[in-house]
Amino acid sequence: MAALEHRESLIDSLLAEQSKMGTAAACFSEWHDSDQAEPLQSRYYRNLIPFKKPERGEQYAFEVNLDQCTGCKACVTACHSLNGLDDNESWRDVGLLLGDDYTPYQQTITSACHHCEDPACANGCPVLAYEKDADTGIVRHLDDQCIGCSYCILKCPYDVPKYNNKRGIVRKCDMCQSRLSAGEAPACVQACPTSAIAIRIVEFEPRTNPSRPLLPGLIASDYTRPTTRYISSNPVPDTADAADAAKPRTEQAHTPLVVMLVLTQFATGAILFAQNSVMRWTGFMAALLGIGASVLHLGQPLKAWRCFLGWRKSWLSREIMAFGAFAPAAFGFALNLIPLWLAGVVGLTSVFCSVMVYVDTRRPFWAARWTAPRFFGTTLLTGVAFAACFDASFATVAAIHGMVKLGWESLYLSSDDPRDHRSHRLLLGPLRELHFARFITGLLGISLMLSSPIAGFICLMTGEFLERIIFFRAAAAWKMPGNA
Amino acid sequence: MENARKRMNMKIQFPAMTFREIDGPLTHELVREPGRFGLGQVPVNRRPVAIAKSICGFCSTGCGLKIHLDEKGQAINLTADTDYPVNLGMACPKGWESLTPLSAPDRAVAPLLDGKEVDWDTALQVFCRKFEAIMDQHGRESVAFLSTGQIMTEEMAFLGALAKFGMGMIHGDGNTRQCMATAAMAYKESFGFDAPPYTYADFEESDVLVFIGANPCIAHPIMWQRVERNHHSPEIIVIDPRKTETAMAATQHLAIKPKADLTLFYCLANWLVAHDSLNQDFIKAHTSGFEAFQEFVKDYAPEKYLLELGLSEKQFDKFANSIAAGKRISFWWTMGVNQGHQATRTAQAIINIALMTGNIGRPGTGANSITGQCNAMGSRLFSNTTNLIGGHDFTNALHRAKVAGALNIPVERIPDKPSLAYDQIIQGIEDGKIKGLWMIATNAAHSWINQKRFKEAAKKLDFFVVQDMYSTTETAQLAHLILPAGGWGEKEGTFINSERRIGVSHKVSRAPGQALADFHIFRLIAEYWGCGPMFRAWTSPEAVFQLLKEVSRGQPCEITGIEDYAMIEHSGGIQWPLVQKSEVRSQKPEQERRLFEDGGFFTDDGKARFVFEAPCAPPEMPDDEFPFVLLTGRGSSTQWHTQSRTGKSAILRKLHTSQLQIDLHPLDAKNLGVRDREKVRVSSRRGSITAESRLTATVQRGQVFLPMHDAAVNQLTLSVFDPVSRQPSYKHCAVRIEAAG
Repeated sequence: MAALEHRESLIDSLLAEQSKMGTAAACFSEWHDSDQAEPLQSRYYRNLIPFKKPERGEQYAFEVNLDQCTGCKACVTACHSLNGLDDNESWRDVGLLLGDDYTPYQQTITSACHHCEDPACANGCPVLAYEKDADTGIVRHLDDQCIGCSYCILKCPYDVPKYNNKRGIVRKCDMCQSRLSAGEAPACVQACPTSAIAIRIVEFEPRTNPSRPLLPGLIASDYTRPTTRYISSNPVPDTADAADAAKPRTEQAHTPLVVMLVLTQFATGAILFAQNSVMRWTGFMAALLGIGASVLHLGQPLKAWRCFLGWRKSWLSREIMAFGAFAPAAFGFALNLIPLWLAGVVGLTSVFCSVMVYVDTRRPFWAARWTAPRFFGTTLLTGVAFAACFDASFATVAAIHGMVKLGWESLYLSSDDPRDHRSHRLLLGPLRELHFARFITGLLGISLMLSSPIAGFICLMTGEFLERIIFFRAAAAWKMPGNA
Repeated sequence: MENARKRMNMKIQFPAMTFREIDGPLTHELVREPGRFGLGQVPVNRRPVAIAKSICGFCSTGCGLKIHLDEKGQAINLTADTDYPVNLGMACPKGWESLTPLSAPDRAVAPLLDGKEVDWDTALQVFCRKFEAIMDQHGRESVAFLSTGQIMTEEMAFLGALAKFGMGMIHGDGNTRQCMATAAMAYKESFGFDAPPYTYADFEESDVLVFIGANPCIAHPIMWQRVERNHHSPEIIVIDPRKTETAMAATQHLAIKPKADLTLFYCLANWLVAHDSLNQDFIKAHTSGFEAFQEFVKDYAPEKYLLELGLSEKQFDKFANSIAAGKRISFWWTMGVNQGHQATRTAQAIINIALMTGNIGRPGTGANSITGQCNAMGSRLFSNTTNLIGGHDFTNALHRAKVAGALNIPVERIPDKPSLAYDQIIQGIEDGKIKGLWMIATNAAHSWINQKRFKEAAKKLDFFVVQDMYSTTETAQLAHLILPAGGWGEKEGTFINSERRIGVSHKVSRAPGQALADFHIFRLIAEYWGCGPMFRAWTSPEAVFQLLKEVSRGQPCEITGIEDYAMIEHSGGIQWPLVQKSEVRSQKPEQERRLFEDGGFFTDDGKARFVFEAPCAPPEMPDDEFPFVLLTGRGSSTQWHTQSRTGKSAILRKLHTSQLQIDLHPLDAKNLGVRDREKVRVSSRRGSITAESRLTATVQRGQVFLPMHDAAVNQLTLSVFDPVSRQPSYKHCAVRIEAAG
């Protein structure tokens, strides 16, 4: 019996011992209690950061020595841990380049923000939530200014800014600015076991070959002028390609934007072809609904009142202002206070701004020759089709217009520009069913238009919504090489 | 609507009535502040109050980590230890993420009996009753244990002593059989003791480094760091069928045919003899059996074997000339060698080259096996499985008497016969001879070669106990009883790394629920089994360490010169051996020490032996039905073995491919009609799985590669074992590839 009690009390005492904490530190904290002037690790990174500050016409930049980047990926985890980021968050990422059919070649590519000379993220931000530091050139994101519109994510051709679900804003690499200003190396530089990442001072200067991409398969560097230098004793073969090139990522649908685009374009069309007050008021209501939907897209909608701040450079800022004018114009037109031409011009201007928002991202699928026909096409098609519901003489025009729009959309697949291949893969791969459904709905709408314009109109509208979902999901982003 | 949905869970911030909000709560979350303790800036929300030092619990590199603690002594973050001689302030991604797996939601938090939570008392009673009943009915050989290289030295010593001396088991092995048995056997036969001779400084000192079946760039990145610190512009030669990350970084890559390494080294020996590039003085003074070896390699004229090796004459000559010209050559091997059908002889073929050229015992030299698990080296010496604890021999009566004396146990409790090896234990279960199995911190249902055999065998067991951090491993799901264990960071003890360095790890995190350190579990089992008195002195890991010192006395791995854990910590880890000296006490030993500097080996005559055997073809060569050779290996630096821990970190998951991918040569793919990133079916005679194709010329034609971390892969592998080390040959079997669209 005593033995049994002894056994059970041993369980209790061991469980108690197991939960006792604080024994490890007591022994060793005194070794380190002194506040050192210089971090211990600095002996290994001293040569990897500049001794002086950048002067006028210069800035800090990452330099990656590919010979020494051998795939350990410690930089990513160090960035995550030393910056206190969320579970799956890191501002540095590592991808892989593979050689062609005959070249046994692989090279890991580590990349963070390239702190571009002409940062597309900052240029696109409607609320000026980005700041290119005048002294260091670091492109800093102002987290409390951000409204979570994600436009910088669409604008950056290197897939750098990341949306943070928990906070409703974007976060990104700041080159560990506070560390650099204290003479410490950024987390990734500190943590690279082979000293492959360094901070160097680079000059703003016209490059000898500005259109050359940073690495094979990337966008031409003249878009944003990234400052990262990839150096190597053996140049990366031109035929090398990202390991994930054959399997592009399906992009987000951005449903609120789909609703916003289709409805504001329909509103413009309804106004342009307004036959009666029902059409006028429908135009106004559609504009209101569409603009309202866009608010759902924002992570921090209460801060969106600052959206005019970026108007000098940001097409998104301009689009928002155009919408701001369109809603009252549509209302005025519905009340017969404003003439058709004025409401129409405001509507078409906002459609034009919408086109430019996407064209300005330089995603190949969103090139002007594809986007403008889509957006203006939707405006005209839905406008005319809606008019056909009231006046059957519009039906033929609507049907012809529908055929032209579908034809133009389908032409994209015949583009043989290699930059379009990733979107082709998406359209014919994971989005195949959706893509098929879009054309079937469109064709059905066209044929119904001739017999039953109302049914045809509903069908065509559905087709336009599908078209716009595809517009987002198939818009393969420019990005750094990935893993999988 | 995804953003709208996300917003439901997030806080919407009210704007300040200014145009620009440069600062605010969101900005403040990412502020970095000086962290004290020589750390530099740290995230403001994770400023440490104190620091503890620990050795990483993933691989055998044995990196020093600084664990950042809050006021309760709970770990909140970590950084690598700048002052530790192994890693110089660096860590690989697994090391950086050491703490994350501890808070995984699927931790085992209470004992589970047939899937139901029970208290420890019930669990331990069942544990003892069931095993006792089996042993009573079927004898001592009817129950076995399978240990691991992942727990502390003191814990594995306790496990081995408890199971064999306390509970009376005969058979116990460890998962180290899967990774290091070959190196251990090779060293034992060649040097007289399982003694990897090197220290990491050798990476920096060599003028020629030869890596055989090793990919340290991703498997041991912190060792590769040391190679990068080599200032002698070394020739780096990589021998590997694949163009690995390491082969990319090499100056010479010999993409030999799979398993051609044994022949390659015999050809090299032949060439060195023919070109008189031998160190005759060293051979005469410090080796035995060279004449027979010289005679044996006469048949291996390189030109006859080039086709078999898959090399051109130019490639071979360049390689051989580099070896002939090298002044300080180090040879490094890992699983490409250890996991083969003639693995031990291959390792010894490497050792033979080092011996005949005198490349051992000097800075920058050595025939060096890089170990896998954090404590494989501890397991090799102290797990009491293959060897009697402390590198002794169960069949040697003197050894048994010595160990009995050192541990103060009756000598008759020590079995006089060695244990069955892992594969023989599995065979024993299949044959119905072994009916009870206790498995600790390993995941055989994922990792064992030709996995299906293990899974089916496990079903035949009358009683199967798994002791693990997680109740969700493939193996735990087959168990009758799961004992919830504390993991690395939740207990203390020592690890021994690849270069024989002993380091201490501490308890820095609270174990969840009722989970207990393995050490505590062993104490409880001793008590419940009724052999508590035998382990009265085994009260803490450090107390056991003192016992192990005694056990090691007089052995090549003697550590009697280490006073205690504090001395280990203050010295930056201590390599074995360290013999007690009466005159000097508490002196810091030198930080980088290598073996055999005096040319004396641990054999009876003090000479290293040349061991060799004729090569034979792998047992399953490709044919018309299964035309490809399947190679397996590590997939990335962010994955560890069966992923039971690394799979719990979101950031590590992000850094490897999300699906199982098979590397396939683009031209082979064309012939098969397989495009990049398509689903393919991979079949062997054992099983069939699907994977996504990744077309790359880094694998040779006729070969494919699968990373071992996916549970499906070992459905394909073939149960073949090196006859000397009984280590499984994971790296060669025949498969068929088909498009599975």
